[in-house]
Amino acid sequence: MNQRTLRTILLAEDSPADAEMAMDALTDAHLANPVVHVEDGVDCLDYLCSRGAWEGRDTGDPVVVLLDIKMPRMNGFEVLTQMRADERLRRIPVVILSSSREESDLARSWDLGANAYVIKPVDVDQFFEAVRTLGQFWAVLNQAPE
Amino acid sequence: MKVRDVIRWRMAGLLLAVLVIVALPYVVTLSNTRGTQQAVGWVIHSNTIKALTYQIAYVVRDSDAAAYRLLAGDGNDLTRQRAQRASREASGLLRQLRAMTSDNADQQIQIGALENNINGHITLMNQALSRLQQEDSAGARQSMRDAGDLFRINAPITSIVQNEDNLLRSRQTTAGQQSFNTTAVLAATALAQLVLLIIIVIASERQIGRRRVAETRESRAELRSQLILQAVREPIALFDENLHSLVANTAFCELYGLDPQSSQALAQMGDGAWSDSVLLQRLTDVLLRDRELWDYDMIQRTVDGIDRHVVINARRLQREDVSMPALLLTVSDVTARALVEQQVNELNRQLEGKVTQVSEVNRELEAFSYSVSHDLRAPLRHIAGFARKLEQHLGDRIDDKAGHHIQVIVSSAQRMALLIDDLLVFSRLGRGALRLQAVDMQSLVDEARALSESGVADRRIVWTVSPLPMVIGDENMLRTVWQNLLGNAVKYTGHCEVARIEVSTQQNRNGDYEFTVADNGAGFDMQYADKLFGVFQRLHRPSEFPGNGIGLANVRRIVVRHGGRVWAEGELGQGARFHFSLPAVDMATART
Repeated sequence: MNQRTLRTILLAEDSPADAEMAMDALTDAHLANPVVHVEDGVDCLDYLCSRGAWEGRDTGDPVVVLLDIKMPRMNGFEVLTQMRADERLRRIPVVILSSSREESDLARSWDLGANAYVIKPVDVDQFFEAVRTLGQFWAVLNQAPE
Repeated sequence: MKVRDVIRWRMAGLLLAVLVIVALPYVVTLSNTRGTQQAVGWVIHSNTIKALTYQIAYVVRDSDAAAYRLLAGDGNDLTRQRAQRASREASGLLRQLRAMTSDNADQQIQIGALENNINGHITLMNQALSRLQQEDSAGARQSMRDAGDLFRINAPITSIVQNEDNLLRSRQTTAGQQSFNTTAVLAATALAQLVLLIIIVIASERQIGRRRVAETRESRAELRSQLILQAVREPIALFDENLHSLVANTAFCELYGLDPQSSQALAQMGDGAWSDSVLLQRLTDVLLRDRELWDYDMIQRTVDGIDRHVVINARRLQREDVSMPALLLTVSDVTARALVEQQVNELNRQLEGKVTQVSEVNRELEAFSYSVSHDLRAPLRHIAGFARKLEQHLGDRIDDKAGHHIQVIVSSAQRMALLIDDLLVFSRLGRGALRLQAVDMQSLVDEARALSESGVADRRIVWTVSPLPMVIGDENMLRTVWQNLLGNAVKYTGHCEVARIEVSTQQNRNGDYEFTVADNGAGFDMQYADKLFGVFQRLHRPSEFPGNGIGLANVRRIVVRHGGRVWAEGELGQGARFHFSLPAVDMATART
C-alpha cells in the first residue's frame, strides 16, 4: 500500500503554461504521488517503457497517465494506441485531457480505450477543480489490478 | 376462313330458295293444267257417249215412227227406208258406244241390256213389216205393240245416261278437289316467295348498310392517319423501290424543300442533303434485303441553310396494291438535344470542378475548426489562469483597481472561449451530414419548452401549443431549432407580467409544413429584420437581454440545410413571430 502511494502521476502535456497550471492544481490536491511531466508522446512512451532518457528509472508504472491529444512528434492517440497494444502497458489508466470538445475526438479516444475524457475548462476555478478531482480519484480512490 | 364459309352457306341457301320459288309453281301449275285438260276430256267423252246413246234411241224411235206410218197406210219408199234404218244403223252405233265405254264394266252391262232390247225390238219391228207386206195388218200391229211392250229401250237409255252423268259428276268432284289443292299450293308458294323476297331485300339492305358504315369508318381512319402524319413535327416520308417519294408530311417537305404534289428522287432532294452514298446504300439494303436502319447519325445541311444533327430511321413497308415494297423514312432533328447534351457535359465538368473546390474548402474548414478546438482555447485558459495566479500572488497587495482589471481579463477570456464554442457549433452545423429520420415535432417542442422554463419557475407563461406533426429531419438539429426559438421566446418576454407564447403549424398546398412561434415580448424593429439571423448579430443590448447572437444563425443554418426557410415578423414592444418551413419529404427517399 505504501509502495502504491509512491507511484507517479504521469502528465503528458506540450504546453508549459498548461503543464504549470496542471501541476499547480495537482499540488493543490495534496497528493503524496509525485507528478512526472513529459512534453510529447515519444517522451511519454519512453517513460512508460523505461527507456531513452528514462532508462533505469526505479519508479513503477504510473497510477494514471493524463494525456494531451495534440502534441509534437507523437500525439495522444498514437500513444494510447501503442499503450493498449502493449501487454505491459495496457492496464495503465489513461485520462485524455484536451481542449477539444469535438465529437470526433471524444469518440476516437473512447474507441482507442481511454478510461476518461476530460475537457480542460477555460475557467480557472473549474480547471483546478477538474484536475484536482482527477488526481484524487485515480491516485486514491481507483483500484487497479496489481 | 370463317367468313368465307358463311358466304358459301349463304349462297347455297339462296340457290335453294330460288329453286323452290321457280320450280315449285311450275310443277304445280303443270300438274294442274293436266288435270284440267283431263277434266275437259272427261266432259267431252261423257257428252259424246250421251249423244251416241240418244242417237241410238232416236234411230230406233224414228224407225218405230216410220213403221207406224206404214201401218197406217200413209207411207212411201222413203218411209220404208226410215223404218229399216234401225236395223241398218243400230248395231254399228252400239259397237261404237261399246268401244267408248270399254273401260266401264257397269256401262257394258247396261249397253248389253240395251243391245238385247234393241235387237228384240228390231226383230219384232222387222216381223211387223214383213206381216204388213203379207197384208196381215192386224199381225203387224200386234208385232209393233209387242216390240213396244216387250223390248222397251227408254229404260236402258236412261240408265246409261244416268250412269254417265254420275260418272262425270264424280270425276268433276275429284278434279275440283285436285284444283283446290293446286290453288292452296300455289297460294303457299306465292306466300313463300313473298317472304323470301322480303328476307332478301332486308338482308341486302343490311349488307349495304354495313358496307357503307365500314367504308365511312375506313375513310375516316384514312383521314385521321393523314392528319396525324401531317401534324407530326418529325419529318416522315414514304419512298418507292427507286427511292422516289410517294408521300411526305409537311415537316419533311419543309425541311428538304419538297413539293408535296410531285414525286422526287431522294438523292436529288434538299440540295444534296441525301447525297451521302453510305446512307443511300443502307437505304437500298433496307428496301431490297429487308435490313433495318436504326438511329443513323449524320449532319445534314437542310434547305434553310442550317447544319442539322439528325438521326435517321428506316424500315421496309409492304404496300397493299403493289408487289414492290416501300421505304418508310423518319428523320429526328437532335441538333438542340446534342447542343443541350454538350452544355450539360460542360456544366457537369464545371460542377465537378466546383465540387472538388468545395470539398477542398471543406477539408480546410475541418482542419481550421480542429485547430480552433485544440489551439485557440489554450491561450485563453492561460490568460485567465495566470491572471488568477497573479491575483493570488499579489494577495493583500492588490488594490481594487488592479482586482477589477484582473476580473475583466478573466471574464473576457471566458467570453471569448464561449464565442469560440458557439462558432465551432455553428460551423459543425454546416459541415456534418444530416441524419434524416422521422422526428416527432410535438415531443421536441415539449422537451424544449421544459428546458426553457427550467430557469424561470417564478414567471407566468401561458403556452398555447397546437398539435404538431411528424417530419423527416435530423432530430438533434431540429431540437436545437426549437430550443433556440422557445428559449428566445421565454427570454424576450422576461419583462412581461404574463408571457404568452404560441406554437402552431400549418401545411401549405405543396405539403410543406410551416411552424410559427409567436410571443408577446420585446419584439424588434422590422427595419433590422435582415440582421436577425446573422452570426453574432444582435438587436438588443446584452444588459437588457443576455446572449451572443448565434442562436438564430444556427436556426437558419439548420432550416436551410433541411431545404426550408426561416423568417420573422415583429414590432418593438409588441412581440415577435418566428416562422420556419420544412419541405414535404417523401418518407421513402428520406430513408436512403
